[in-house]
Amino acid sequence: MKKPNLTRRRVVPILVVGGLIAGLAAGRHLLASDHQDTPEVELSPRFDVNDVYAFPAATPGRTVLVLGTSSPLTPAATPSFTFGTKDRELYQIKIDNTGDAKEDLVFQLTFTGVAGHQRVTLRGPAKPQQVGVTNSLIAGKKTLAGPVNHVLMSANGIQLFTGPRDDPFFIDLEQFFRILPDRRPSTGPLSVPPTPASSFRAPGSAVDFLTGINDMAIVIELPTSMLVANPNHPGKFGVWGTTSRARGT
Amino acid sequence: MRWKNDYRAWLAALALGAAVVACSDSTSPSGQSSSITGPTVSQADDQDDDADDATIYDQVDFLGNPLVSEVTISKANHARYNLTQPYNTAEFLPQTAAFVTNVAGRPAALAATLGSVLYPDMLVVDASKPPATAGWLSWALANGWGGRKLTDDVVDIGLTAIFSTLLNPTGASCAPFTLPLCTDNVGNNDVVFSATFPYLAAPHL
Repeated sequence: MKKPNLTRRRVVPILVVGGLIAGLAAGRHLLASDHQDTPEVELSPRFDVNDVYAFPAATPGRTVLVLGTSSPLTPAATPSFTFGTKDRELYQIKIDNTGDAKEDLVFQLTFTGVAGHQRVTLRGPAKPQQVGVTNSLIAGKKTLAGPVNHVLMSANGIQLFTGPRDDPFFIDLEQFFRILPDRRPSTGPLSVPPTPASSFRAPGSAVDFLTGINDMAIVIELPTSMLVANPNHPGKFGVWGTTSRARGT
Repeated sequence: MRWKNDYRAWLAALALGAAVVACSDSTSPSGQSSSITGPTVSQADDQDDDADDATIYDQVDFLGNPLVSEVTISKANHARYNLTQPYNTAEFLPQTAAFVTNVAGRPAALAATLGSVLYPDMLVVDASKPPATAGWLSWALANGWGGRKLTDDVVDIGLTAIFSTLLNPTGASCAPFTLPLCTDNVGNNDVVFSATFPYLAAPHL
């Protein structure tokens, strides 16, 4: 659905104060937003997209895109230190730069090899073969290929890191599930029926559930100009992340 | 009018907040040369990226804005939500609105405002705006870069947007960033983010 510009414009004055508060809140930090979303991704944590980020890089004129995935609720030094391999799984970051909420560019990431020896291949950013939930790989030249857990750089200025990082999200998830029990996962320590609560906990009692937790991160930095190539929609783009399973596996 | 005074106060607070963020950024090393090797797992040992090029992949999980599906859409519908793309997320907008009005007990007008910001469900960026301007949920702010920064406390921002007096004072549960429901009182990541690529902090080993 294309969002009418009028609606957005009407929202602006209301959100002015909200935006300022949001800026203020940046002095604090974030939360992992989509962990263990469904029983299917609980059972196949490599398909679990936890968080997506898009923010300005330290270098002016460049943008950072992050796809956080895979077993975020798994403590350090566990078998979560691996990405799903190409014969099973495709990771994608998708970009709409025309304002119709359909992907115009995709980054496709595939992995090969066993844990500790994995390699990554990046295809794109390029026009996808198909728009939507069924996808195949972009043909032709690959943008980057190299070992996981290293910083890779392409000739045209695309930087890529894939590997375990600290999960950047922070939230008192335990208390969240006491307030909204319906959202809790169906397995694991948070799955037991919680003691109901109607408020969050006081400072000092609140607990960041993701303390000491890693995720498998895909971090891409590139010239912003490569994302906003559409002259009819200058500077603007939308970002989302997906994981997909190889058909028949 | 009180908004005017509040506006100045927020501007000052924003500047202070930005300064705090700038100072809290560390210069920890990038992930360039660490030698992490996870334990062996039982997984297909696919060594060749030139193989399987003709594979068809079916989407399993999807995420745009944080909290939209996790908080406002009931768990039973998450599987269906994960098989959407932003252009067809509109069918879920009534569920998000129903959460705001029924579960959170907030006015329909507030639900409509939030719905117009969060749908279609994707992070919205305006890179023509200065990088230091507001991030998640505040992209509608005239000068906001938008997207989602590592330093955006999306839980408190989202809670405040739904439950506080910020967008609609009627029946509010709390003032912005206060208990019972407008903050979870977890204000920081457990470790400091890196100021340089890849920005996310080193893993816990």
